Amino acid sequence: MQQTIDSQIQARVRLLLARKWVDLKSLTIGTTNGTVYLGGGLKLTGGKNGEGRGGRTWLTRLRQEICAIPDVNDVVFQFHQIEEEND
Amino acid sequence: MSEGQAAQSIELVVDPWSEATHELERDRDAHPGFADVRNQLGMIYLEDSRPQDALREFQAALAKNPAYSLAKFHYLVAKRIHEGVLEAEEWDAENIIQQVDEPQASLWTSWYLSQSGDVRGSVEVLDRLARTEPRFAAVAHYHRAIRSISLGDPTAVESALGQVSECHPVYRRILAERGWTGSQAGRSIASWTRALLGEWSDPQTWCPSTSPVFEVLGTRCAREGALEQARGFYEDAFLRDGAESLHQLRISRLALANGDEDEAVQALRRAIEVDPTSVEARIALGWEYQSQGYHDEALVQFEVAARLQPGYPDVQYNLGLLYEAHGRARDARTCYERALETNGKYFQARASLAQLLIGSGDFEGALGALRPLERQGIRSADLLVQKAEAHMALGELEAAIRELERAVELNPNYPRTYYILGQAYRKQGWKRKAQEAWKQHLERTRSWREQQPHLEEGEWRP
Repeated sequence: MQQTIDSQIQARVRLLLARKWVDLKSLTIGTTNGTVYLGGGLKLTGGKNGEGRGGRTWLTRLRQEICAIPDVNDVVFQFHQIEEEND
Repeated sequence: MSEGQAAQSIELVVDPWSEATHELERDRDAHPGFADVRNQLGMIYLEDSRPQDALREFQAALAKNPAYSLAKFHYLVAKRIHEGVLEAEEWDAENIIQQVDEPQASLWTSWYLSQSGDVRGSVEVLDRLARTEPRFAAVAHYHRAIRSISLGDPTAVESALGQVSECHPVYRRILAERGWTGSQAGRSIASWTRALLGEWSDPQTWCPSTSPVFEVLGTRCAREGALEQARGFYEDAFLRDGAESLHQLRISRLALANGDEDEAVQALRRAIEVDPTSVEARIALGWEYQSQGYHDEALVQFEVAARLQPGYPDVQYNLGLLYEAHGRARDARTCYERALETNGKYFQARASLAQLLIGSGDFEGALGALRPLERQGIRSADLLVQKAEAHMALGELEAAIRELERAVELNPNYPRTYYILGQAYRKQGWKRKAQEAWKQHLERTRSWREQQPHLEEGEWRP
């Protein structure tokens, strides 16, 4: 049943983000039909060449890790606020 | 050690004080009007022996929000440390403690009395707090121990710590780890200072309300993978504020980061036990249960969280997902609608609501729910597929195929697009195209082995 799978994916995405110390209060997370949606505000913490938290490389890696969760078909990022730090 | 190894070792060194300070300074520069950011930055300056900088930030916080009681108190602390000034009129005029709850009211009053020379009054306030509010007894006795350090009275320190240990197991454990063994007559004040306050704090000017600084430092270390260092800072925060539910939440995240889900669950259960109204702990425990397959237990946690905070859209949305998983579509719909009432831009709730409406046969409703998402700029193959499903059910095949082709363009690897596209082609009477689309679906879906024998009753096979 897709709804059970979606709620299971949702739980795993939450845990993945918690393990990465992402501030969950400022994020919205959703799952429908195996598509994971991340929205809200994502606070970045610098790093060189986009490797720091929230940098381009970090986001690409995050997308890959979410895609690796069983039954995830697509990942959509729609952050309305990205606060960037400069090193 | 090779050059590469040396570089790696250097990267692992964490200086949480300077990193946290720089992060808050950047926050302040980006949002100079945020009083809470200025207050937080002031706190870290205060703890880092930079009272002049701290004073400037607290003044700025108060200029933005003159009623900000925590910043008012910190302003008085910084002024006392930096200028040596403590005026009774200012404390009275500010009426600070009437604006805060216990234990802050007593802890702040005790600080003020000790700084103004009324040591006995300072200790009496803490004793009264311990007597009248047993849940704050440990933190009250702990602060009494710090006051006794500043008075240079090791016997009083030992007595206060004995009481702390008696009334709270977490304090007892942390103090034991820091060298408290029960009876330690003869231990010097300098040794107590190091054990309880660390290297950086001066017991004479010790501020009772800066536990958030230590939480920030702990989280900074944890993000860098320095979990033991993080735990130490979290314990510093707990010793100062005695807020066990928050402490257990932090410990649960450390346990998760360490891959120990059992410890995480244990800490979250304890967080709820000491504060059954902690919505944050209930949500975290709910997801832990869900991920471990305890679906009914997860649902209970979310239902309680929703009762505690019905206007919190995140709780409503996630409860809706769990209701759907339990086959309770009507309850799920109510939750999604509540989430959207509070936050109309909660696009995840809108996407789930639309899918639920499709499942219940309300195709016009689904299209109505999906319409605002394009205006919000949400681009996803699944949303286009949902629209296509609704159009198809309403007999609008051309519109459906148009949406599906857009979905393929947006994400050529999304398997469901091809499945629905196959159905749309079949309805058009285009059998070959339908078979090709279903084949594409099977090629992209991870569960193709399970789906292959049953998909469209074998009709996908040429």
